Amino acid sequence: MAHVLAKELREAILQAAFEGKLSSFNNNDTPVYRLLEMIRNEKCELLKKGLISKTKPLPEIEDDEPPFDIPEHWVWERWGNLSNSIQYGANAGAISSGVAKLVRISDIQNNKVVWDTVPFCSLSKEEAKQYELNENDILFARTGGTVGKSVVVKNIPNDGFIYIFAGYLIRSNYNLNIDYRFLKYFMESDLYWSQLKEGTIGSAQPNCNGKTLSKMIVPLPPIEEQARIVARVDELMAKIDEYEKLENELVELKKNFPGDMKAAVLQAAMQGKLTNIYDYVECEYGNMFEISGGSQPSKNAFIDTPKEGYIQLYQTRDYGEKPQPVYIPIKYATKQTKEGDILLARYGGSLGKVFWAKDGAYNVAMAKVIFNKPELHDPRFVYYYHLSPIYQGFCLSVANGRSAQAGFNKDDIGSLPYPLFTIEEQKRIVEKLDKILPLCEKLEKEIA
Amino acid sequence: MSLLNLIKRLQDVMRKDQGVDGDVQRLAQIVWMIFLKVFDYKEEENELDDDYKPVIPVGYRWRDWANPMKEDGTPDIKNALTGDDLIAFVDNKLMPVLKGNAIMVNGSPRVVFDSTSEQALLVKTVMADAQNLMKDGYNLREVINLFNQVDLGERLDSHEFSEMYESLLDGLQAMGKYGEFHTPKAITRFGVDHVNPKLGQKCADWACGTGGFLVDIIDKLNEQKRLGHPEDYYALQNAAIGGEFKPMPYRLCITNLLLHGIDVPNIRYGDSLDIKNFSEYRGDDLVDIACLNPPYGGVASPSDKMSFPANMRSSETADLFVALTVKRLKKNGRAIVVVPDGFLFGNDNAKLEVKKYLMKECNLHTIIRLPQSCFAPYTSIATNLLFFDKTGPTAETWFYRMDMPEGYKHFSKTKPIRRDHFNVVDEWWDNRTEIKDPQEEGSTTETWKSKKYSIDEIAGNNYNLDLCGYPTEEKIILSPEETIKNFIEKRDQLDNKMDEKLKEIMDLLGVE
Repeated sequence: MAHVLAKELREAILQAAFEGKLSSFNNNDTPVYRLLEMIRNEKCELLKKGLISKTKPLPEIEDDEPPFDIPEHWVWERWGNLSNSIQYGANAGAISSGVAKLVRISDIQNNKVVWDTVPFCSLSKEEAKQYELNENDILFARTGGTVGKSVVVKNIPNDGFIYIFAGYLIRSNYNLNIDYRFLKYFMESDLYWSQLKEGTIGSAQPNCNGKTLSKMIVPLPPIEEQARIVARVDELMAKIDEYEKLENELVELKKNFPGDMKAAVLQAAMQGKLTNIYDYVECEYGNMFEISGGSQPSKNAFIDTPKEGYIQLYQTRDYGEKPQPVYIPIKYATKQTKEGDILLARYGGSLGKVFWAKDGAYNVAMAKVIFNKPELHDPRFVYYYHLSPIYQGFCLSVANGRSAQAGFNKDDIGSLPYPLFTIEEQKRIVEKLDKILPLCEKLEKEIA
Repeated sequence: MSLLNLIKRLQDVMRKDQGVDGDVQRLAQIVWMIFLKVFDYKEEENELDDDYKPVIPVGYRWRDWANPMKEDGTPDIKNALTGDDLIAFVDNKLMPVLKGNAIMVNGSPRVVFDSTSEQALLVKTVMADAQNLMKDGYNLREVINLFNQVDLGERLDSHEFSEMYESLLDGLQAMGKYGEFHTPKAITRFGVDHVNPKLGQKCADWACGTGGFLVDIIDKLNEQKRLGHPEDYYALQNAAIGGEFKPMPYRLCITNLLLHGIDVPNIRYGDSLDIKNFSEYRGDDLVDIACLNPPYGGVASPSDKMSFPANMRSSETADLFVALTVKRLKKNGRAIVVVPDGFLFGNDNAKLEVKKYLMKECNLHTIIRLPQSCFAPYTSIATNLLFFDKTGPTAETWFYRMDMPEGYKHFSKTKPIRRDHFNVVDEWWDNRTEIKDPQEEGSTTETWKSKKYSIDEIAGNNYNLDLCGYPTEEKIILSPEETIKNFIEKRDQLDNKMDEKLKEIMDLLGVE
């Protein structure tokens, strides 16, 4: 497997950020205990006004709870204490029109809300008000395959509809004295995800509720330092994104190379370049070979164990990884191959495959290559010809042309160029290919 | 006998010989023999002028050892060397002598060929790396006799000989190793037609290979020669200048020019990129006309790069040759250079600087995009023709995409590109219009077959000259060597970029 550095780098950057290693103490920053005071006071106010409901106080953070050390001037605090409330979304279904629009987990892609796909729901304006989304809200998925996924709500459309969030989403009404971008990065860090995992019940239908989120501990720096950390992480993440692009290009390059090599070697072979013999006659495939499609006896005649008077009917899959032998009465076996014949797969996904035939009948999905003048050909060379870009390119153009199900027929293939070398030269080319191609196969493993 | 037959029979005879293995070696064997025969023919021609003294010593001229004649002008078969005698002569006497080395004469070593005239030096340079590979003297005699059936004295034959020579060179296309030194005739002719050299101008190809461009230039200048004007004859003799640094194409080029009537072909045998420092080219180094198809995919040597200004030190030889051409063009000079797609869209620093330099010093007025298989079967790399002159900086560039002619899916050994395929481009050339491609159903993208772009548009697009390209790119299969080279180049490029990026990240982290 290719080594993926970008992902590791991101994790490392976030870890460093939350250990305080990407920022430093500044005298002018508001001390963090003041921040906590502000938060507590605001919560009290809201409670008094009845805008939020009272919740059970969260336990103190034990000495051994934090998994790593943070700078002296920071503090560990529970998420619940940093939020004014943790709110579950509206339970409503999607409908075709209304006044309120419902953001669901599926509308969150690539760390953004995809506003185009957000459907209407049945809530009235009044009912919707408490769930109305605001710029910079943080939502997180509390169940489903993507439990824990978070998003910062941005660029809410200004189209007169009221946008709300669905039941499987939780909105954390974090205190506005906290930098939401800092919180968002926290929700991407290992510390967040490991706490999430611990708090997640069940694996079949993973479910993580508001309590789990509340209990999570967060390393908290002064608010000004939060902004500085965010700026640094933004810069680094942008660079890592650029790096990741390059990494992906490299992976793609390495993936394509062995195949490109094989094609190049086969092409060179067909031009005589591997053996330095350029004396070939450029013929047409149709002059050299006939292709003869197989038979398609009725499935009623198939049996799956060999029997006297029956012969195996080979299908494309029988030349692959998972053969499923079937047998038909010999009288239906009008098209047969002998061991050493060459069969070409003609249809669909198998188009382009070439097989060394076995003794037996073959079906309509394959075609036998019949040599017009057998004395002219070394069958191994003919086999390699069909692996080369000349034939493979033809198959590709057939596959991309009309429906791949139609496959190719005699006329299509007849005009393909076929280089006719002398028998000795064919033998030499085959020997060269026998040596080089296995090396290309090995490339596939070693290059990754 | 017909030319094709001659070549076939030559090859058949040589195939019998143990020492000559494969088409490439056979070609090497043919080349020095052709050269000597042609050179001797030219010497005989020149001897009609009383003043001329043949350069090659008696006994070592083709007419002496390969084709001795009786008094009555018929071949002297009895005295013609053959068998072991012939091999012994060629290996022990002919080769050393023509290279300018000493042989034993009357018991003591003597340099028989001691002339230092221009023509003598030409012979010695051409023969320097030549080798006789044939081991069987009877086979060699057969080969020589076949050659002798072509009488250069007959005007028809001489023209036929040079045609045969060129079809031999065209056949080189199939021979991977030397295909890179031969540009298809159709392309060189088209290029020279539009660069339009005039008699009296100095014309150069510093990557001349087998001399395709030079020979076309000479043919064109020849048409301008006037009877009774000896100065025209001299202008023609001195018009062409070339450079080639591999021995085989060098030899082929010399012979090619000899066959086209140039007595002392002015081809420098060496690396054109490493002659002198970039800034030192001036005066006589400059030329009026430059036509080249530089090698690409090669890696420029460190000393090549050092000759160029620091900002243009590309590893890609094609880039360096473009810069060299711009430098060595006289004011108002005209040029055509064949470059790969990589030059057009590449944007590494050095390439970018070369493109900027080209478009600032010269008027890059036309880029013709050629269909992929032009150089088939040697390579499938996509190529382009850059036409520019030194009349001032580029204000705008016309792009024209040459599409495959009717009835051709791709060019090949049996259906190569021809000069008349370019007729449609010639028509467009004098009457330039923008041609839009018919839009595909449902598509909103506009593509153009021909369009002009201003320098501002090009500069704004970071000098990406990959414009008016081919709408659907078929996947190109390169040779195995090219495939590997490409992969390693791209992988190393990516590795470098990734390392750079990681360093940027480390810098941001404040790591030393």
